[in-house]
Amino acid sequence: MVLTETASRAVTDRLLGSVTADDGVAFVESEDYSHLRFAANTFLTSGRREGVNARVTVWIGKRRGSASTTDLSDAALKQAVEDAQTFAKLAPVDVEYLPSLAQQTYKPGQGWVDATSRIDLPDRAHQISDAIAQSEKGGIIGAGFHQVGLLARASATMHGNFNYERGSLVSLKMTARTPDGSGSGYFGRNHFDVARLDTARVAREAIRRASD
Amino acid sequence: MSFDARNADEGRSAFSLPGGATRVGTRLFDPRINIVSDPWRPELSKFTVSDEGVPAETTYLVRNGMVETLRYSRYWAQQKNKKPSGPLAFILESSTPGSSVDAMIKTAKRALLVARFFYIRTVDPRSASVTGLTRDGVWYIENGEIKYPVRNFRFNQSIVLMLAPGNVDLIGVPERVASSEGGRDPLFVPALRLNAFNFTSQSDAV
Repeated sequence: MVLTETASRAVTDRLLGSVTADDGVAFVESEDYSHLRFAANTFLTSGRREGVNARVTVWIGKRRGSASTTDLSDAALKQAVEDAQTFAKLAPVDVEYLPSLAQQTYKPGQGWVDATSRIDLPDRAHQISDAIAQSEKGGIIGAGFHQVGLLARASATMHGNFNYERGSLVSLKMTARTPDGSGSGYFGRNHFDVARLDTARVAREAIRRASD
Repeated sequence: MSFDARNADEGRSAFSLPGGATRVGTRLFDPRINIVSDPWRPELSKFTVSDEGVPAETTYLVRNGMVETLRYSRYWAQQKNKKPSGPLAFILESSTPGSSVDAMIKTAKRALLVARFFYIRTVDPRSASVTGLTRDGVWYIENGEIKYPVRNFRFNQSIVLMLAPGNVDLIGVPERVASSEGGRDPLFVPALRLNAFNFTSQSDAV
């Protein structure tokens, strides 16, 4: 699962809290990718990858330095800020420096759907079973990749801006082959809302293109 | 096709003119074409904050074929006294009702149907020229019917010339499509029937 707004703000607060430079911007991104792969009309692998990255950019007399870490402990965040400040002192003057943003007004996006974030192995096995069933019915060898990607990101500035956004994405990409190797078809689609990803259409189109 | 204002102002883009001028205000594209950035479009719903922290706005980059505005980083916006741009959510749509792909096929005399383009790389930003390959099927169409599959091709094509007045025959209904080379960046774009497109060699790709 990705970081909530509260958890993200705690990270950017801790980063900016140890900045002694003139200006600074803190970022934190977290991601959660999970997949089910199938080939030769059978399930192959299921996996999950989670990650987090915190980054800080500072300016000392318009000299810029950045550092990042995947460790959210107090010590690691503090070290990242220290590294960024060390680099800033060594860097040339950033002639395109602009002061970091003051508080902005954001109109939220709609790219996060809870149902997409909650897809589990039985859900995706069910969707892929349908694609495999369609392949078998059409005398086709099917292979593909079903993936859910969740992303949350936040940034905060020394001048008081903060924003947080998260997005969900589910995709199915499929390749269909005729058993004699003479026909191949591919189709893929993605959506932020699992209810609006037409997996049956993905399978149907891939199979049709292989067969035509 | 980069809509970046600085690239245009500094002579590096298809929207550049000699002497630091740009093609903003020029009808470069087919008059039916609108290119809009709108992260709230229900089928697209993208992030609304740029990497620089700038909030998104619904913006027409091209309206009725005319380049209306370019995109500004915070720094370039300050230099040029413009508003900085939020993130891009790319929508290409027609101001007229879209044709279905089936209708495009049925009314075509001689044409090629391309299932997909991939491995697309920039060749020349000043003409918005890209190269790439077709993949997963190209079919020959004659008198409204798909006759047979043909080999894949490499193409070299300026996107500006592709979308120019006189080259765009039919514009489809936009739909959400995913990049075939990874990334999270969906676009909302239609199928197109074009009068000319530069296929330059055959390819062995499947």
